[in-house]
Amino acid sequence: MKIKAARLIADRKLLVIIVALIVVLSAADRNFFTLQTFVSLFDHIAINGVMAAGMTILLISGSFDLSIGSVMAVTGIIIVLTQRFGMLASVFIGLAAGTAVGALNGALVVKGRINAFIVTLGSMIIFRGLGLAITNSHPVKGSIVAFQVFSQASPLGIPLPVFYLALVYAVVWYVLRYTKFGRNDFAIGGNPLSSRLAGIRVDLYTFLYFVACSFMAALAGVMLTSRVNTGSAVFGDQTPMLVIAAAVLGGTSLFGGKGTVIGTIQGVLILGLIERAMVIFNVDTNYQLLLRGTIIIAVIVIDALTARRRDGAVAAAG
Amino acid sequence: MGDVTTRPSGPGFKRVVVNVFYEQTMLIILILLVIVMTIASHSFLSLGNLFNVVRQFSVHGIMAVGMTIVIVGKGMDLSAASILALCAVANVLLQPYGYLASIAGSLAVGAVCGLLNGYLIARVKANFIIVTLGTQIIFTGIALIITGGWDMRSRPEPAFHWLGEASILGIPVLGWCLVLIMVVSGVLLARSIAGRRLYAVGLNDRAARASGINDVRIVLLSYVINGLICGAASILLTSRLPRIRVGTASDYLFDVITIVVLGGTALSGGVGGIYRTAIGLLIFAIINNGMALLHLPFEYQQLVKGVILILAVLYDEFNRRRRLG
Repeated sequence: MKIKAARLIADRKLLVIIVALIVVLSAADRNFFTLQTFVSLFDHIAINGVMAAGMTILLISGSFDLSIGSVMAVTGIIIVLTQRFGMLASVFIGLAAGTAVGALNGALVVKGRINAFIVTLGSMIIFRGLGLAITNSHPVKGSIVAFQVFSQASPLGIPLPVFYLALVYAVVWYVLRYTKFGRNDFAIGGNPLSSRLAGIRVDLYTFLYFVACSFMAALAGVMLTSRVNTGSAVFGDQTPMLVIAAAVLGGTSLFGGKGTVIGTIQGVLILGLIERAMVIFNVDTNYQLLLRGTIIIAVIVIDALTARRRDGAVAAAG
Repeated sequence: MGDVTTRPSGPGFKRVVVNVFYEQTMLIILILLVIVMTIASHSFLSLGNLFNVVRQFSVHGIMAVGMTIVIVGKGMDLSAASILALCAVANVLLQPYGYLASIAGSLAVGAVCGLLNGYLIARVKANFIIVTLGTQIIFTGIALIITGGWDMRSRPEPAFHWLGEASILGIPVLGWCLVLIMVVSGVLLARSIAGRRLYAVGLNDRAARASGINDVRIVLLSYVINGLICGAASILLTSRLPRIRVGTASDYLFDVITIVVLGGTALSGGVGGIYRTAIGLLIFAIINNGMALLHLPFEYQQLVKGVILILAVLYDEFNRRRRLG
């Protein structure tokens, strides 16, 4: 019985952390434990959450993308700048442009055989530079008021971004679990060489995972732009790290082949709760930076240590 | 294999020319750039402009030395610019206790930062990119906490003033420092036992380990040395600039990586060296100087730098394939 309880807690580490954080925050702030708080919490994590879902897909295949922050920013800028062609057209153009960055990344990684880190680091810099160049380093303001409804309306008292978040996670969960796209993801991340030998078109699917990740980042760009009605090249400079940390916190491994979106959303929620805690405890912004960095490092170290233990176990068994 | 007497005694002339061309592509580009810039701008070859370039890029050059060492060991340090900022903050804080204390402080802080990176990467075996991106946030955070987010004023310490402004034999002291660090670390990397081991680990860490090299210690050492070099660079930075702003230090990172890759040090590890980085530095400095002389707007300069980084990476990839045959 005791062992069973311990196992149950060990399997639900993230939930335990979430509950602990909620208890602490409720104790610290009398007004915290309300439905409204949780609704606004999900509203706030929606943008990073959508990107984390895309990143999870890519991480499972053993790659990662550092350019998502730039993709989000550039998508927003393009939407604002093309609003004179109509709202829907601008959203479409923005999504297409953001997704195209993923296609470029994927093509360079797959066809150019260049390290994913170098490619996405390069596109992170180049597209942020492009964003700065076309906006002259100034934020650009949107002109269509109706566009803001996308993020600011709340039917049934729940903001629309929460619906988007739920929809994205439902789709990605289904796709990863029940489709070829998802199964190949795990196979390629587990062992690209044997996947190729088993007849999986590794290059094609890796390309698609990059595109999917960028598409999510572009979607986040749409959500962000409609929320603040502004496009700026400086948005999202720490986003890649936070999103990767959230996914890894949720049990997705940087070494590929392992991960779930259920874990990722819990990781996103934990980071969101910590951000909220830093506000409630009135932590100075510079200390927030230090704390964020420390959390990221801690998560990465734990991932490396568990990966090593797993490899050690495999080696011992084999 | 073949009969010795019927085979040519050496590679053909054409082969030699092609090989020299590939090996020295960047040297050729450098020479062409110098010629083009001399024609395009009257002020380019003036001593005033050249010394300006030396002053402006000495910190880049020194940091590129450290980055080269780390990249040769098949790593990378994305926290280098944050280490620079933190060391510069330590330097300014310790200036009231004399210049020796502040120099020692900068170097010590750099070494500790490098040790943290090296420990997590070499010993814990965490991904070097994510580790150094994480420590980048931590180091920047600490620097911002210490300064409260404000610019720091470097005190007019005579020793630092001399370092930043004076000249020996007509050449700025900053330039001498750069050359000294490049020559010493270049010789050590290419000729010392530890240097050769780093190349071995960078090329193939398993083979290196199998042949008895303590790869953990070598990689750890490379990050510590990089931290020390960032500390040294911060001393030059504070002596050159009267104000230190933590946020702007991050600009150094991509410039430094671009310089190293441009020179031809392979991101896949085990290939390259300080000589190549020196050429990369000269090309980078001349292009930047050229953009300034031609009054290109800042945003476009950033874009050009991004394009150069991409081209450098493609060049790196081209070289890798050529080596593999």
